[in-house]
Amino acid sequence: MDSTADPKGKRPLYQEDGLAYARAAAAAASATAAAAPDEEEAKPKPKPSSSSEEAKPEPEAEDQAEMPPLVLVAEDGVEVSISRRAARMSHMLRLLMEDSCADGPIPAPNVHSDILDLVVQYCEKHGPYYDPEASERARNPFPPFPVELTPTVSSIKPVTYVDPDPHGLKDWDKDFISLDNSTLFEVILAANYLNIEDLLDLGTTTVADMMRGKKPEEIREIFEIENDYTPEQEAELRKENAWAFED
Amino acid sequence: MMLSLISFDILSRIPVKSLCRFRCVSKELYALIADPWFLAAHKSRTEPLLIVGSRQDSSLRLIDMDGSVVKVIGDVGSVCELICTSRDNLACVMTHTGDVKVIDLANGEVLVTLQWKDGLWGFGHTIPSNVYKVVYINGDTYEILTVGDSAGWRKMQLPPTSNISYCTIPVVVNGVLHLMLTSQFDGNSVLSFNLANEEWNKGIKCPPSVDLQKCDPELRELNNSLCMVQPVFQGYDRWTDIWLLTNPDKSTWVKIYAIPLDSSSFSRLIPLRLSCDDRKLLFCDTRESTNISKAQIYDSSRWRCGDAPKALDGAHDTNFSRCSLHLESFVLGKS
Repeated sequence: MDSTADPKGKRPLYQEDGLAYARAAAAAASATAAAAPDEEEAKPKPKPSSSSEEAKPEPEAEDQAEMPPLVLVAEDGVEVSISRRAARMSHMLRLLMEDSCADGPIPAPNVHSDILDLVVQYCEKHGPYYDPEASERARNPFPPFPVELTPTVSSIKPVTYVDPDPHGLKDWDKDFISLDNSTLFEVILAANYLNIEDLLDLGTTTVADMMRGKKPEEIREIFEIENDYTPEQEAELRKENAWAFED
Repeated sequence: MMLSLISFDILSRIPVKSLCRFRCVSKELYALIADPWFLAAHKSRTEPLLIVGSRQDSSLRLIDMDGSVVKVIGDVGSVCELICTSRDNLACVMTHTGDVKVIDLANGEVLVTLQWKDGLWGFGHTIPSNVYKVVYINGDTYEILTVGDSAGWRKMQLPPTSNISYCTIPVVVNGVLHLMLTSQFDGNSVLSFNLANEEWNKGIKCPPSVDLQKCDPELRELNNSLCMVQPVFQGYDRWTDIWLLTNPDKSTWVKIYAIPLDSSSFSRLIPLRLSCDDRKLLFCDTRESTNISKAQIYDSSRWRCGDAPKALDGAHDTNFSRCSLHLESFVLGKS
C-alpha cells in the first residue's frame, strides 16, 4: 500500500508498523523488566485488569487514574512518563494498555525527548476531558447537528447556548502550537506515530493555515523543496493558473 | 526533505486558490494536487465560499470565510435571484433582463441560458453523479432539464399533491429538491423530489410548532442540511426561529436559533453558515423597505448580532448564497 496515499486523507504515514513494533518491543521490555528492580518503587504494582473491563476503556478511566503512568522512551534514551488518562489520547497507547503490553517502557524511536515532552504535555492537558466519540464528531467538517441540544421554550433568548470551550482548551492550544516550524513538524510526526488524532489535527491545521496565501517560492523555502521546473515551464504554469495569483 | 509532511492531511485543508498556486512549486506537488484520491479528500474537506450577486455591478463575487474575495466573475448580468448551495460549483442566476443562466464558477462559462418565466425554479445536482438539473414548476407544468443534455426541457413526474406554496423557493439539499406545501398532505408539509431518479420521495413533516396556516416558513440550505426559517410573532415581539432538519427519514428538526429581529421593519432572513465550533450564525438580513441586504453574524453566547466582514456589505438588491469551488475543475481542465 502506498504509504502516503490514504484516501481519507486522515493519516499521512502508514500506521501498522509503529504499533506492531511498539507491541513487540514493549513485550520484550516487560519480560526483562520483571527481573530488574522497578524504578518507580513508590507506586503500587499495577493490578491485572479483569478481561471484562478491557473492552470498555471509558469506565476504566477511573481505575486508570490510580494505575502507574506509562513510560515512553525517546530516541535519545530519555524516559518520559505519561499518565494513563493522558495516554488514552494516543490510539496506539490505548491499544497497548488494553492488551496489557503497557507495563514496561514503550519505545518511541523516532521522537526526540524534547518533542515527546511537548506531546505528553498536550495529552496531559487534554486527557481529563477526552471523549473519543465527541472528538470524532467534531472532526467531521459537516457534522450532523448535535441532536442532544434541547430547544428551550423562552422567546427572545437564544435557544441553544452551549459554551463551546468550557475548559479554555482552545486558547491553550493556540499558545501550545505556536512553535517554530521544525519543532512543529516534529510534533506532527510524533502525533502521527503515536496516533493522537486531536494533536495531529491541531498540527496539520496550523501548518495548512500557515501555508495559505503564500507564494510558491515561500513554500519551497519552508519545506526545502527544489524547483524542478524550467523557467519556461514555470511561466506557463503561472499563466495557466493566473487567477490564483490575483489578489 | 520535508515533502512527506506536505501530505494529503495538510494539503487537503488548504483552499483551492492557494493550491492552484502551489502547483508551481514542484513537479511532485503538481502531481499530488492532481491525484484523484487527493481531489476527493479535498472536496470532502473544503469549506464552502460565499457567493454574492449584485444588481449593480453585474458580477458574482466568491468570498471566503475570512472575508477575502477569492474570485470575481464579471459580465453575468444584473442579478435578480441566485440559486446555489454549499456544495454547488455551478450557480443558477436570474437576471433582471429575464435570463436564467447556469454558470460554471470555476471559469465563468455560461453553460445554459434559458428564458425566465413566472413560477418556481429549482436548481441543484444529483448525488453521487454530480449532474446538474433545473426544475420549473407552475400550475400544471412540471418540467426538468439536465445541464449538458441537448434534449432540453422534459416532462417531470407529477407530485402527489398540487398544494405547493409559491411563497418560498425550492431548495436542493443532498440531491433532493424540497418544496413547501400550503397545507399538510398526509401529515407532511415538505415534498421531496430525488433529482437522480426523478421521483417524488416520501415527504417530510414540519417542526412541531410550525403552523402553515399562521405563517410562511421558508426553506433554505444551511451547512448542507435542510433548514426552515420561521418568523414568529408574539405580541410586540418578533423573532425568527431557525430549524435544522437532522433526520429526513424521521422528520426530526432541531431549533438551533431564535434570533431577535428589529420589530420596526419587516426583514427576510437568510441563514448562510453555522460555524460549528463557536455556534455563530452568519446570515443575511434584507429589509423589505429598503431592499438593503446586510450580512451579519449572530453570536448566541452574546445574544447579539454583529457585523460581518466588510467585503460582504451589500448595497441594494444583493443576493447572498453559498457555493464551492471544486479543485478538480482547475486541475483536470475542460474535457
